[in-house]
Amino acid sequence: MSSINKFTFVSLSLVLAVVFIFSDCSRKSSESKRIQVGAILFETGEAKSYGIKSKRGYDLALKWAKSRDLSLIPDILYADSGADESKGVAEFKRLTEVERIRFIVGITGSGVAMAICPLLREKDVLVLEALDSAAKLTDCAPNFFRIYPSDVIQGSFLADWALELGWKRAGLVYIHNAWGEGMQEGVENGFTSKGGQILVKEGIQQNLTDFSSIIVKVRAAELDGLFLLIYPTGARRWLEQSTARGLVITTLGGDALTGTEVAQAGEASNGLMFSAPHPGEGREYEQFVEQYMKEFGENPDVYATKSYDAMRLALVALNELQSDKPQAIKRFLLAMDTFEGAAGPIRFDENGDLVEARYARYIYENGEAILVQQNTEE
Amino acid sequence: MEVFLKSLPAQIANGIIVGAIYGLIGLSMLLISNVMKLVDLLRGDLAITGAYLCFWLSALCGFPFAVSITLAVPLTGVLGLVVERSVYRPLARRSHYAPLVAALGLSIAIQGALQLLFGPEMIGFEQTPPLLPKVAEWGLIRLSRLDVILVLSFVLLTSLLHYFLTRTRLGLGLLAVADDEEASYSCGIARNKVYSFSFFVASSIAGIVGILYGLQYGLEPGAGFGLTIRAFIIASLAGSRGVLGAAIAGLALGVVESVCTGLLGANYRDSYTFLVLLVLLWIWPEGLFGRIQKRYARI
Repeated sequence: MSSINKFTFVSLSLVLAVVFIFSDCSRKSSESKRIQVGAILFETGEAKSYGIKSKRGYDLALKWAKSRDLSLIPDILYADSGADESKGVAEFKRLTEVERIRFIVGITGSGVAMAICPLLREKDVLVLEALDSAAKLTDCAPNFFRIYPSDVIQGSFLADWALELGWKRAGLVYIHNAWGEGMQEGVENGFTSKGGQILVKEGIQQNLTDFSSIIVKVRAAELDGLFLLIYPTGARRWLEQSTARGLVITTLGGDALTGTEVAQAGEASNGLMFSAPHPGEGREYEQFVEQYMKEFGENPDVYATKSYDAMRLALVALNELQSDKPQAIKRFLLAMDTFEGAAGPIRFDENGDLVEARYARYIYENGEAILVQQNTEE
Repeated sequence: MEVFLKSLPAQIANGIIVGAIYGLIGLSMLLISNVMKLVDLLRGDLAITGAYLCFWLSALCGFPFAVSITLAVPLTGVLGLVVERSVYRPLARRSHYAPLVAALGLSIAIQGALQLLFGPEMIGFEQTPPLLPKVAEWGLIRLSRLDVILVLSFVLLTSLLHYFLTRTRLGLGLLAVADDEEASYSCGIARNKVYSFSFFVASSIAGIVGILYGLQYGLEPGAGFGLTIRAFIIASLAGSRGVLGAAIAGLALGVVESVCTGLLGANYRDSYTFLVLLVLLWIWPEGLFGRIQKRYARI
C-alpha cells in the first residue's frame, strides 16, 4: 500500500469513527427523551385473541392521549409470552434488563404473572395489569397493580348464578394454572358453602386435545350443570367434542370464554353461559365504543376495554409525574381518587387490587356473546 | 367409583378410537425405525404437515375434500422421501446423533413454518358431509361417522400393510433389509430403494393419521409433538412383532390412557402413559411383543 493510500485509509477510518460516535450519541440523546413502557401479551398460543384485543385497547388509548395533546406519550415495547410461563419470564427479563424498562402495562395471563412475581419483588419495576384475575396475585409484589377483579369474587358470582339456576349436583372442569385454580377455588367454595355438591372435578393441562374421557365421566354422573373454567381454544374443543359425544348439559364458564375462539365452535356454543367483568357504562364507555367501532368495525369486549383503561391510566400517571419512576407511579396510584375508566371506576386498595368489582352475565347465541344481566359486587 | 364403573365401557370405546390413531402413527414410526435403524422424531410433524396440506387444498384452494385427501397423502409421502434423501441418508452414516439433531431442528422449523403460513391458532376442517353426527349409541357409548371411519381406516391400513409385507416381493425385500442389511445387499436387494420406499409409505400413513387427527381434534402447528411421543412409545412396545404388535400396542395405549383418565383424572394423563411404558419395558425390555435377542428382527 502506498503512503497516500495509507493516509486516505486512516483519514477515512477516522471520519467514519467520528460520524458513527456522533450519530450514536445523537440517537441516544433523542431516545432519552422518549419513555418506553413494556407489555407482555398473548400474541400466540391458546388465547391469541386476548393479545389482539389488548393491542387495540392500547392503540386507542394512545390516540386518546394524542387528541388531548398530552406531552408524554411513551413507546410501547410488545413482548409475546404465548401463554407460556417460562417464555413470559424470559420476556420480562429482556424488557427490564436489556431494554431497561421500568413500567410495564400488561402481563397477560395469571400464570405468567405469577411466574414473574418473584422477580418483580426484587426489581424497581412497576406493573399495571389489565386482564389478570388469579386470587393469588393479590400477594404478588408491592409494585403489582391490576384493574381486573380477583377470581375469588368471580367464583362466588358464578356459584350464586348456578344456585339460581337450581343446580345441586355440578361438575367442574378447570385448567391447571394460577387462573384456573383460583377460579376453581372460588367456585367450589361458593357453591359447596351454599349446599351444592361438586361430583366431578377435573383439572386439565393447558394443551389437552382429547376431552372424550372427561365428557363420558360428566355424562355418567348425571349432573345438573357444569362449570367450565378453561381457555377459549380448549373450550372450543370441549364444545365440539361434547356435541359429538352427546353431552347435553347447562354450562357456566368464566371470563376466559369471552375469547373469539369459542364462537368458532358454531352451533355447539349456543346456550353456553359465562360471567365477565362489567363491560362498562357512561360517557367514557360510550366514547370508547364509538371509537372502537369506527376503527375495528365491531363492539369491544371487556378485554379491549380493560386494556384501554390500563393504558389510559398509565398515560395519566406518566403525564402527571412527567416520569416513569416506579415508586412515584406507585404513590400516584395509591393516592389517586377514583379514576373513571370506560369499564367502570378504578380505585386500588393497599395490595394493588380493585376496591370495587362489577360483573355481568352473558350467553352465546348464534356465535355471539350476548349480555343478559349486569351486577355489582364489592 | 360408581361413576367410573358406569362409564368404563364408554372409556374403553374412547380408548379404541384414540388408540387407532396411535396405532397408525406407531406403525409409521416402526416401519422407519426397523428398516433404517433410526428414531424419526419428525413422525408427528409430518403427520400434522399432511393435515395442513389437506386443509390448504380443501379450504384455501377449493378442492373437494376427497380430492384434497387423495392429493395430500402422497404429497406427505413425497415430503418424507425428500427428508430421507436430503437429511437422513447423508447423515445416518456419519454418526448416531446427527440424524437426531437434524430431525429436532427440522421439527422446530416445520412448526415455525406452519405457524407462519396458517397462524398459531387452532383450525378445524370444514366437514362436508358432516362427520360428527352419531351413527350408533349404546348407553354412554356414542359413535360418530368419524369414529367409524377412523377405526375402519386403522383396520384397513394395518391389514394392507401386513399383506404387503408378508405377501409381496417388495414387502419381503423390505423385511430382508430390516432383518439383515448386509445379507440382503449381497443378495441384490437395492438398499437405498428400500429406504426410500419405506419412507414414502411411512410418511403417507403419517399423512392419513394427521388428517384423521385434524378432523377429530382440530389442528395446531405444535400438535405433532404428542403424536411423535406416542409413536415412539408404540414402537418401543411393539418390539420386533411389527404390524400386529404396533396395532395392538396402539390400541392398548389408547385404552390405558382413557381408562386411567376416567379413574384418576386427566391432569396427569401423560404421566400414566409413561409410567405404564416404564413398567412394561422394565418387565419386557424388548417390548411387549419382542423376541429376546433380535430387537429389530422383523417389521
